Amino acid sequence: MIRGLYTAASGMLSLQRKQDSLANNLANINTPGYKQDVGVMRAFPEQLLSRIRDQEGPDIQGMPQMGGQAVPIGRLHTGVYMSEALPVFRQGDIAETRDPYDVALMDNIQPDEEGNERRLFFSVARLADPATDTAEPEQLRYTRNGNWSVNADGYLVTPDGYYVLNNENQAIRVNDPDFPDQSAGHTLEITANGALFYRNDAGEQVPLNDQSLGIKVLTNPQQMVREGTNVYRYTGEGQPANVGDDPENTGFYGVKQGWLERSNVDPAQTMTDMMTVLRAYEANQRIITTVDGTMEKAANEIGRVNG
Amino acid sequence: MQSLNISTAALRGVQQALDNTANNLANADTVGYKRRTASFSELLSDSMNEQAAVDSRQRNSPPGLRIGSGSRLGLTKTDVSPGNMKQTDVPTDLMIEGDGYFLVSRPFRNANGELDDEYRLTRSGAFQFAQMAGLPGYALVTPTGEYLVDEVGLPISFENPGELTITPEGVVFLDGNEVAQMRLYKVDNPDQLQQVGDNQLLAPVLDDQKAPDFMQFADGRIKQGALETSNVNVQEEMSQLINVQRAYQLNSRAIGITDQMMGIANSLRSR
Repeated sequence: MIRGLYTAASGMLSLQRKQDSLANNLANINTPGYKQDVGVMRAFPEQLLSRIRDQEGPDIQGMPQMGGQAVPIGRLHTGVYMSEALPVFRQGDIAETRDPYDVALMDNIQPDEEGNERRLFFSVARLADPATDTAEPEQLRYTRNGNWSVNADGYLVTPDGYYVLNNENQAIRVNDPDFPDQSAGHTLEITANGALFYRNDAGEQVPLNDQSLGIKVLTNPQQMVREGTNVYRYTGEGQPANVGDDPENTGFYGVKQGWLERSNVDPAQTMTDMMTVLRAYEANQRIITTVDGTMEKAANEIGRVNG
Repeated sequence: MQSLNISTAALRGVQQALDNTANNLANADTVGYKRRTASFSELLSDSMNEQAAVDSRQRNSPPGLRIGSGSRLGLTKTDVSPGNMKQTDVPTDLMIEGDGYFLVSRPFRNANGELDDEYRLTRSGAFQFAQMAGLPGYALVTPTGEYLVDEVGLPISFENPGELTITPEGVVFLDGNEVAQMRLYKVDNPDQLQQVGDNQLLAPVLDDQKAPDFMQFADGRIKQGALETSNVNVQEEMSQLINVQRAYQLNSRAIGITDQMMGIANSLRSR
């Protein structure tokens, strides 16, 4: 009886977590490159219940009677918890912004031989000195948010201050305040495979330091830790490779400058889930009040003298 | 409950995006105005480690439960695309065709009480002849009183107003006589300059050098007798407005549902 009270309470607690996760999805409905989280609910570990002080089991035909042994009643889970929030890496819609520093990434990379999902990400990092530093593997972060701007030193940065990295894991300098004639400014051009160009004074397309965007292939993207601020940290084995390293990827991905990938949150789905959460929460509360009523009877009415 | 904070943070961001849209719409008719686009960014994630030991098996993501804490307004970027041309045939109305900014100066008293010039950049070319404050002669001034300057940074001044002609390259003639050479200046990243209102940007200062001494010339050309309208696209702003309104509604619904859940928890003891 008391067990039921705690089971229902764990239901309420896990539903609160799920509501947090759904509210966060809704809050990021307009965040570029945001990937919807799906809450995974899991039952508490299974227990086997046995009858105590009653060696006589039920008299079922064909079932042997084992004298002196505990008689099993059945299996039981005593609660539920939210075990993980899995990001769904489905492609979001893309929307035109006409801003040269907005970049949408589109991928259609097929799963590898073992059937592992593969997704493309931009690589970003926080660097102490963007002019000389090369990002170490532990500094690398991955994002789908291509909503960038150029900071005061002329580097391409994300809204949260991460430097956008090129294929050599170095920061990308768009403008150089000391050499304004070599600055790309708003003439920055990004080709479909991520190579960077700008227009010089004569209007010719010139490569920007022969670099391209550091687009990485992440195998099994679920193995990434969501850090917030639109970035993920990779915790799996090995290091993700540049998408351009494997010629088989050609034609299965594209970079679109002047467009943004929108969040892939489905508002109708999220609202429906929220309503489900609300009603399940209510049902669990009803269980608690019912169990409480039973306990009240046990405490106050059983054994009452002069009832 | 965390979800209340999450949704409240989102509402705040959405409200700011609405403010941005409202400002764009309000300036739909401002000469030389450049619209700004607002975009959102995710907040940090909370990470919780409270799982049973058996949970480490049979799961798809690294250990722990991570739930984000909402969103905020991430960036407002200036859209530098050109506006349309509005023909006015007023000789003091100038328009920039292509890249570049007008440089104007604003006299002010510095901390020591001396008269100093502050340089500002603008795309708005609605100038007028006006008498210079404290000096003889006339100059081309903006509606808010800043002087259009020549290539060394001094106000372009005339003894008397007359027939003004400005070539596409910026040579200023008054009644057929060459008076001054004005320039358009190149700004690689207008988002990094301080907006001082009146559709103007504060010109950068490099190692005590003032703007006319070090700034690059732009390759835009000057068109006399026309003005550049704002680059605000009303349809685009209206669709943004709908987007913002729906986001606001969804998040306030989320608050409503969280509130109901708290009410349910609160009524646990009162049957």
